[in-house]
Amino acid sequence: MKQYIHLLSIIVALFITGCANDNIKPPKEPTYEWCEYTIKSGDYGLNEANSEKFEQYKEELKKVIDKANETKKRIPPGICAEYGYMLYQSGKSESAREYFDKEVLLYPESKRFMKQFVEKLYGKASTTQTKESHIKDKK
Amino acid sequence: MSKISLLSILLITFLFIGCTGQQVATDVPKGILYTKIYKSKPKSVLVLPALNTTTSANATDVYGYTISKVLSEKGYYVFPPMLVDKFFKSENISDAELIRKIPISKLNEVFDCDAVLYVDIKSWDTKAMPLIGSSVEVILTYTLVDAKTGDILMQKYTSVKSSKSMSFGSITGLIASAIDVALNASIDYHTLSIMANTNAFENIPYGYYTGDEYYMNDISDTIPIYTSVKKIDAGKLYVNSVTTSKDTPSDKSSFVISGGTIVGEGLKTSSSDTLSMYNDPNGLIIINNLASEYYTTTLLNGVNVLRNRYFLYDLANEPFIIDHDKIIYVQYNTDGTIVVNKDSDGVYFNITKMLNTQDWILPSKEKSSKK
Repeated sequence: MKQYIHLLSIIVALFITGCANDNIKPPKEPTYEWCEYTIKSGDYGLNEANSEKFEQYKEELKKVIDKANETKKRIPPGICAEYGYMLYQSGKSESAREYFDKEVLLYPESKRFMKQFVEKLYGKASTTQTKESHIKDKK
Repeated sequence: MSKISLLSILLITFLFIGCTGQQVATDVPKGILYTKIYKSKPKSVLVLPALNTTTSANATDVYGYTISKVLSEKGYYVFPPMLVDKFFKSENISDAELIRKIPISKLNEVFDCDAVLYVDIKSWDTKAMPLIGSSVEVILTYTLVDAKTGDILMQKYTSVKSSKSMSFGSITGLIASAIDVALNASIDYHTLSIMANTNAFENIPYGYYTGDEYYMNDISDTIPIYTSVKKIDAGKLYVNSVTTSKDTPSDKSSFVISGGTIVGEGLKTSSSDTLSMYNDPNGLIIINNLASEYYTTTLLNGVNVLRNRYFLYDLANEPFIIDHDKIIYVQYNTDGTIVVNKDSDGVYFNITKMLNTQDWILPSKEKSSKK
C-alpha cells in the first residue's frame, strides 16, 4: 500500500514537471468578498414574497458589507444599493438612504441611476441638493 | 485504498490530457481576441433581464442575477440587478422582451452606463436518456454592446450540460477554478447558469476595479486557441468536418473551425453527474445536434443581428478566425452569413485576407480617464 502511494507520487510529480509552463501566471486573487451572495440572491429572487428568504438575503448582504470592512476590501458593486433597498422595505428608510449614498460614493458610475431610484422612493424633493450636478452630468 | 487509487487515476488522467492539449494550442494575445473592449474601456455594465427564447417559462427568473458576481469580479461596475428590475417595473416595463426593445441610447441616457449586456437564453432543457439517465442543458448567448456607439464589443455562445449517468467521464481543462459552487451539490439550472457565465467571461479583459496592477495590463496575456483548420490551399480554407446527427439540415455542410479553450469536458462533479461545456469562438467542438446552429441572432436596437458563432469579429465587424499565427478573413454575404463551399477535399471558406498575429495592431494601453 505504502509502496504504491510512493510510486504514484513519483508518477504524478513527473507529470507535473512535464507540464510546467513558465507563462502561466498565478491566478488573480478575488477582487471582492461575496460570502454566499449568489445563492442567497437567487433564492430570494425566486421567492420575493417569502419573508424568511427576505431576511436571509438581507442578512447575507450585511455579511458581505461587514466582511469587506473586516478585510479592508472594497464592498462589491451593487451590494450597498441592494442592502439599502432591503432596509427601505423593512421600514428603515433613513438608514436605507445612507446605503444608497454609499453606493454612489464607492461607485460614481451609479450616480445617475441611484439618484432616479432614490427619487422614486423618497420623492423628487429628496435629491434637490444634488440636482445641479445631475444636470451637469447630462451634458 | 480504493479512494486513493480513484483519485490518482483522476489526477493522472487530468494531467495527461492537460499535457497533450497544450501541443495543439496557439497562444493568442487577449488584445486580438478582445480588441473592441480594450478600445472602448467600459467601466460600468448594465445587465438586462435575460431574454428567454425557449419554452421553459421560468428560465429568466431562475437565471436571474447570476451574472452580477462574475462580471464584478472582473473589475466592472455592474448595476444592482434587483434595483434595475424594480426600476423597470416602476416604469411599467416588466417584460424582458419589452426591455430588450428599449434603444441603447435611451438606456445610456437613463443609466449613464458604458456598456449593456444582453443575455439570450437559447436552451434550457432536461432530456431523458433511456438507460443512461438524464441531461440538463443550458445554452446562453452573451452580447456586450457599447452603450454610446451601439457597437458589439464581444459575443459569446456558451453551452453547459450536466448528464446524470453512471459512466466515468474523462477530465480535461478547467477544474471549476473560478466556480464557487459546491461540486457535490446536485446540478441545477442555477448552478449551470453560473458555470456558463463564468465560462463566457473567464478571459474578458480586466476592468477598472481590478486595480492598477491588472487593469489594462493584460492586453498581451495569451489565451490558448485550438484550431481545426485542415489546410489552406489556393485561397481556400479547409476545415475539419464532423458527422452530424439527423437534426442538421441536409443542405448545410457541417464543420468545425478554429476555437480556443476547451473549458471543461466530462468534468466529474459527483457520483452521477458529468458536466461538459463549450464556448464559442473559444471552443472547438460542435456537438452533433447543435451543428445546425452556426449563427446567433440577437435582437439589438430593434434589429436582429446575425453573427457566426465560430468567428471572431474585428473593429470593422469583419469576421475572421485564428489558425496558429494567422488571422484569416473569409468571404461573407450582406446578410452576415458566411460563404461555405464544398469540394472533393471537403468543406471550405473563401479567404479574402490573411494577416500575421504579430501584425495585428493592439489597442493602446492607455487607461480610461476618470469621469
